[in-house]
Amino acid sequence: MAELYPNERIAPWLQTELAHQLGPVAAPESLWNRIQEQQVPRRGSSFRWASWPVAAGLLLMASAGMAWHISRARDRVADMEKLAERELQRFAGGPKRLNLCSGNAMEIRTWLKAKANVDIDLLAGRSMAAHGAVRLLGARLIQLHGATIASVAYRADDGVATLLVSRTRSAGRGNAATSKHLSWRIESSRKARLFSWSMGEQVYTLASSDTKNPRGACLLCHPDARGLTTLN
Amino acid sequence: MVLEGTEQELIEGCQRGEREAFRVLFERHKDKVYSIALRYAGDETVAMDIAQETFLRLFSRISGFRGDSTFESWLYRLVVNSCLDQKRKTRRLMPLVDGLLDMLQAPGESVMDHLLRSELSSRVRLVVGALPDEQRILIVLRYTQGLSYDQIAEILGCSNGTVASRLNRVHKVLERRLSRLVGATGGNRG
Repeated sequence: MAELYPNERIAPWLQTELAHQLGPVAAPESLWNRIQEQQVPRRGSSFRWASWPVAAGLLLMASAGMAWHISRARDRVADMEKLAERELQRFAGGPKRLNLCSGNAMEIRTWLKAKANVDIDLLAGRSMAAHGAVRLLGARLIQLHGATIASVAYRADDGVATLLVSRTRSAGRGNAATSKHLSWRIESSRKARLFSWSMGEQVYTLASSDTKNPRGACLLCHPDARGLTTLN
Repeated sequence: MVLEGTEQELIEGCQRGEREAFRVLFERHKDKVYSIALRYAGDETVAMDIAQETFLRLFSRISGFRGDSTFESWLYRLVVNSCLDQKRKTRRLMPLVDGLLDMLQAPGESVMDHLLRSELSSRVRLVVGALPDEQRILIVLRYTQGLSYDQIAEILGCSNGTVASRLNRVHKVLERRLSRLVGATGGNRG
């Protein structure tokens, strides 16, 4: 029982009852087990530290996967550019190498849509064709790594040009951003100027043999391309 | 050797993360911690939660114990904080089983005496349980552990005078609420 202080006022019966009713008791044996069980999740903090290398590994794998994906995309663009250069050389041999020989923009567009499921708005270039700035030669289909690539051949200003178009690998999955340039790349060689880009669900590569004035090749789809300054 | 070590050696063992030191420290203080928790909460389940939380806090914070106060005071502060943090409302059941056992073990007294005494016991716990948190913890520290005013003052972070005046106030409250029942059981038994 707690020893009374000199000035502590408490009825003796109350002191007795309090000491009796509130006296110490023995802790249940299960208390230690409960504490042990609770410490397991607390040790989870060290587990979380231990999981950092795993998380770092996963992050590294994800980064490597993304790098590989980008690398593959770049390879694909590079392949398209090589192909575009070869196409330019082909067209120099005459229109006999084309699957469709036609100067009609509507006919070429419809044919490409049916054969390669690509849609190229050539109609804008009709007015330029009417002025003689662009002269359509025709189109052909090429198989590259299992994908069908549409090639449109035409003359622009003083040079020959070709526009290669293919569907992106993600096309049809519904995750492509339409009407949006996803990538853009300009390359030059001794024989051609090359422009590659992605837009919507299609990948484009434009090659022009006119290395000094490559903007003329853009007139196929963009009548106002003469005003462009960024492609040179 | 941890098992036979002094409190200081045990604390240092815990600070080094020695599992055995934790176990020994727990064994030495478990009854103290659980008693306070039970008398404060009035419910065994809640008391287990409080005691568990107290030891988990002790284990996680002991590395920061620098000995500015005694270990015992530090431990009591942990218990008191765990008690005051315990927000769960729990039903406090009447200790009917305890009362029946008392009746069976004391044949010299009448059934009425036992019932009245049993009711007094229950009433004491109920009245203490109905006290505000700060007053209840004061009573528990004083009567469960028999702590001095100095110790209580150190644990609660107040002066001796404050402890004394608060205790006197609580004694009066308890006396007023229980006195009628005491009269019925035969008056002053102290």
